[in-house]
Amino acid sequence: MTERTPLVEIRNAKKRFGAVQALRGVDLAVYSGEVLGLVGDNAAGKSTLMKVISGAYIPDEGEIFIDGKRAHITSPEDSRRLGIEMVYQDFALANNLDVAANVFLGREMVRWSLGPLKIMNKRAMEAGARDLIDNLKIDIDSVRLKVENLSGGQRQAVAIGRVTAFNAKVIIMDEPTAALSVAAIGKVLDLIRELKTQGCAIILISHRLEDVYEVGDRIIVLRQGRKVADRPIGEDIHQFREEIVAYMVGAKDDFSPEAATV
Amino acid sequence: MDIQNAVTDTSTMLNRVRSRSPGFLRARELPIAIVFLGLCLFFWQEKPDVFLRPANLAIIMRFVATFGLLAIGELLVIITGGIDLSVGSMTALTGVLVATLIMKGFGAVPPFDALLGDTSPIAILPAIIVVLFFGGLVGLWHGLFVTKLHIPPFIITLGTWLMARGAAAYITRGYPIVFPSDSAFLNLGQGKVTLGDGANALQIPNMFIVLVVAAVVVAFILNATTLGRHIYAVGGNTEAARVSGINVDRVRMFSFVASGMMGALVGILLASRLGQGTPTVGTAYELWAIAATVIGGTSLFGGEGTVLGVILGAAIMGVMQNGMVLLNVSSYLQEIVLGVVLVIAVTWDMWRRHRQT
Repeated sequence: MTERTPLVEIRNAKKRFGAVQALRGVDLAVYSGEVLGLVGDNAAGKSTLMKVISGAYIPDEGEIFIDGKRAHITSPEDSRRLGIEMVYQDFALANNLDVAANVFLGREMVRWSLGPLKIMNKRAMEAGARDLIDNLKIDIDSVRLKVENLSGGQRQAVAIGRVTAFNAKVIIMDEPTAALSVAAIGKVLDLIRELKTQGCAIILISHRLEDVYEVGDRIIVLRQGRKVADRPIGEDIHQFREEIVAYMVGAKDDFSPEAATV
Repeated sequence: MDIQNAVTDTSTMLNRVRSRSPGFLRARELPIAIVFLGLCLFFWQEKPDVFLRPANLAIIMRFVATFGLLAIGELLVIITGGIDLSVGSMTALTGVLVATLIMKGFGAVPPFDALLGDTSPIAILPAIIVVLFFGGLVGLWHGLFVTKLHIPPFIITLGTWLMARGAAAYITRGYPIVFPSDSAFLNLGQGKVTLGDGANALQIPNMFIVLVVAAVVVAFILNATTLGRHIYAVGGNTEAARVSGINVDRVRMFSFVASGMMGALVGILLASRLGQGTPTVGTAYELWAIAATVIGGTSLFGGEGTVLGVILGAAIMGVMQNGMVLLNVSSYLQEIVLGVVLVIAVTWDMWRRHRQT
């Protein structure tokens, strides 16, 4: 590995929910222009780890570094301010609002303020959303359509698009292709490649190993709250699949505590 | 597969038509407005000599003002996915409070009586401000229980529904507090603005003007400000709102405070209108207000509803109630009819929603 500074690095993340130890000390680093696949069986800790990075959960232990500097992330706003954006599995869109409103949700353009009341600049937001939709070649007729009237693929495109609208450095995608048709999956993967060439770091959580293989540069496997593999993606897909599954079910483990030298 | 494609094509086509037709044709309020106008035409044709008479219009406007104001507060809570059952009892408590303060001062209000003893009455405007502030505080109380302690809005406001009614009776010992007939306070609810001359001059009750002002302010907040957008977002998808960085608790808190203040506002107006603070006033008004919001197209699941719709809902109820009185319909039958209207409104809304998805 080169001596570059990771865009985001987590050291020794631990998180417990009641009796369940969801994360048992995980290290993770992701670099600019890199797509990092994050895989693991259900309850392996993938989503918990990502929610720690995105500020939705506060870890019990562990440190987060952004561009090599120690960061204190205690809320989603903190992580957004640092350029970390998350695309959630269930789209995280307000279906009762239109496309433009969803793209700018939580950071509306403000024309002027009247005390605590902030008057929105709706026209500018609609134009901004329109540009975004066009740039990403997303097929949506009008940004004034309510999200509830869109297809699953269109919704996912909006969910990813809204994240890219704000110069994200690190984009975390939680199962972005899980609920999509084959054609829509291809478009999402194209979108990921496009973001990568723009220098974003992307963490791709997916149970679809072929997607990770196709766009990923490196893969991390979690099992029972621990990292069991961290390796580049290179070999042919059949070998890749077999090896990763072996890690996922516990047949292989590169970081086993017994093997570790103290 | 072909059928699926056909369905998808049709729905995209419908969406295209919908997104390109003029705003007023897309408005959800359009069918409600048509029903309202139809009712007006019907009663006007049945009772041409009475229905449009200024005095009768003033009666309708006072009805619409009372329930419209309560329904606007209720709307803000319902959009965020909550409900406020306290507003009817709150009109009684706040009406009694404002009457007590103006007639007797703080010394007559428990628990201040023990601390202050006899006090002199306080002036009208400070009394109104104190009572509005009190309404907001009660709303804050609801908001804190809902957001911090995760008590369902239904339960915490049901608690206030009982407590406020009880407190109103306790403060007054069950008797109304009557204003002298020359009290300036009475102008608020009984006064009106007259437009034009002669017998056909239009009389607009002050209460209705208050409604219009409140409606404009709340509609502006909902449509033009970030707060309004966040209110809809919280009701549409609370989790999405949260991860988008919206302070969900503060938004919900605001809606309860606004609803509490609307309850207090109506309490003050009704006390002035009736010339007394009565502990029995406003019984079941919260249910009428909720009915008006639902008839006006508000979804009880949250995320949808407009001020215009809600006022049209209150207006439909007001015109129907008034029209049935003019036609000498038994008051028992009136309630049946209004109940039927409510059921039709909700059923139609659910049907429309199912068809859409």
